[in-house]
Amino acid sequence: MESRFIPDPASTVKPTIRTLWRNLWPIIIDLWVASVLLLFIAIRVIGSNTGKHLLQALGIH
Amino acid sequence: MLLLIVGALFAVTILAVAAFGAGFWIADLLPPSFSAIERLAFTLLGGLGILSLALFLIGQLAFTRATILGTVAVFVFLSIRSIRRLLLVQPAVWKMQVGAIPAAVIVLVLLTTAVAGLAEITGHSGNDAIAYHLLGPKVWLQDGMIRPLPEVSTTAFPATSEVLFGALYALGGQRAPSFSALLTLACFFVVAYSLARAAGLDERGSWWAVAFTASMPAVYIGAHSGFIDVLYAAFILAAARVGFEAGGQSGFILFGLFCGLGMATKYTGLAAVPELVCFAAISQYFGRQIQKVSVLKYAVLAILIGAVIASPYYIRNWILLGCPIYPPPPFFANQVPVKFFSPESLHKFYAYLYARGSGLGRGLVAYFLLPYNLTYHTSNFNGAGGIGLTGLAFGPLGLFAARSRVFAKVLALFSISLTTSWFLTLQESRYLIPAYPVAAVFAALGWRYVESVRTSFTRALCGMAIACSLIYGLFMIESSQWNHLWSVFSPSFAEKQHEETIPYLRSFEYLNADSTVNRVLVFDPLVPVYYLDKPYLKLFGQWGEQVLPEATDAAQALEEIGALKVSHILDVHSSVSDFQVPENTPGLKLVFQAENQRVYRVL
Repeated sequence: MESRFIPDPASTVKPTIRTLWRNLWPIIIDLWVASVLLLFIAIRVIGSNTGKHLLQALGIH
Repeated sequence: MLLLIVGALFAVTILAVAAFGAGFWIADLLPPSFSAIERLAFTLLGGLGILSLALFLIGQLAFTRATILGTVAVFVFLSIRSIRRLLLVQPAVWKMQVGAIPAAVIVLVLLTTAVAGLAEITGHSGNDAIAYHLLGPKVWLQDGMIRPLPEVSTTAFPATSEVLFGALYALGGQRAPSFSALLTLACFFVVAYSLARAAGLDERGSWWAVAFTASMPAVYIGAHSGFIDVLYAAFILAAARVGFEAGGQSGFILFGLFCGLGMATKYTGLAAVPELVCFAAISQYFGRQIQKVSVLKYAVLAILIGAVIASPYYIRNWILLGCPIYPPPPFFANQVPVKFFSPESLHKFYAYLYARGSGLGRGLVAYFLLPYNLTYHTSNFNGAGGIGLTGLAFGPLGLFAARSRVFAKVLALFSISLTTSWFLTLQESRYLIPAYPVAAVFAALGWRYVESVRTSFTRALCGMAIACSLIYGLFMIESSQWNHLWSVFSPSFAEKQHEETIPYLRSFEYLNADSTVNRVLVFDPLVPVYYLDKPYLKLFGQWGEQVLPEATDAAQALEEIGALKVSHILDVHSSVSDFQVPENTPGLKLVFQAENQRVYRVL
């Protein structure tokens, strides 16, 4: 009879992982897109010759 | 200038109408899922290829203004029924659902192409357009026949685009070939749209994929100023679109046609077509549950049609030059003796290509870093400007989102396969243009998927990434075209460009103006004879080609000058050689000289 009150591990863990994943997934996407964007700005924009000239003109070396 | 513009407009319009006539039967073979604009673009694209093939075959006997006009007139006549049918279509069929931003991007790029295409193409022999894409057609028209130029081995390449350039020259003058980029780029964009639709995007999303493609400077570089890579990519992607979704025999006939046109445009088509056939078969087997025997039958049919379409170029090379692929590939260099090329020169030629196309290495790490390097360091693959950041930011998510669609999966696998073969051979960015629109399609799919997450921060982040990619790409494209655009509106700037970017201009002006010039002998391999309007004999090519077996250097040629039947000699001091005609050579009279250039008359 007591065993009826012991929670079934499978039924509790599965939804928890799914919920965790559901919460994490948008964050992973945000981090991915943000890192691609920041790298692009750093390498292709600031790192470009035009960017370097602009920074030098602004006195930032 | 106005005459040049009118000539270019006329030539491109007539060629488009003729292409429509040449491809009138294509629209009937396309699956019902194709929209009106897709039918129009595929008909035009296939028609351009067929028209070029017809001109090439006729051009083996005569490539003159009369034969070109006659051929084009026949196809214009054939287009009447199709054009009438097109005009009777309900206007509602042409309505497109496209957002303001993608529409603006696409229109801006097309408008830039149209205006910049009216500028004069100038440059030195390092520019492929000057070295052979435009030189070949110009000389073929002068000679009245299509023949590979012995001193420019690259004019023996498959020449779908170059033959069209020749026709455009004949119909509309010097500016028409570069203006035709508008037509080919527009067709390419619609093919990219068609791929996006088939991959599962709605109409608006598909136009976003086109906008991502349009704003890729690495794509644009292969579209204008006499470059042929975008037309080649359009054929390959059209084949993928039709082949991966072909519904029976008619679909495979079209698939074979576009495969053949790919092989008839660039040698890289020879590597791409087996991959296309393989993935089309896989798509049919898994997507339509067709029996293996039927798949095999259709694949063989497509290969046969493709081989028939492309074969004239390869058979011509075999007969005239000794090898169907000319210059022969490295592994044939010692086995197959060919005209005008020694095995040593061939090895040097391929060593140069291999060094240029080594990109960022060939190891496993370099392979897995390709998405990163193609996004951030495209200049290492000679693709300055890059492909934007949408492919890397959203592409992987697009792959995940489209995992249930057979067409999308096969398209992705085909693109990966193309990229792998490119990575293992020549890592020149232009050669990968067929894969870039696929990245844009998956970027649009991924973006749509990310939007389903629906947090305002994510949407803002996506908006920023897309804005950054589009603005950067458009800035790079516009800045690369600035000189061309400005020279269309400013005659003085155009004149300045003409003076500054054409090597040995004064000698060309002298030779073109002098009526006593019959044939000019040129020694230096780097002299861009594209600017010479008179017949010429160039003894040594840029890649080691040797036109006369008995004349291995300038001194030997000078001894036999009488037999060469030339009236003048153009001798220059370039980065690879000094003046080659000794001063006071008997039998020659110096008639013109300027900095690093001398012209002699043969007495």
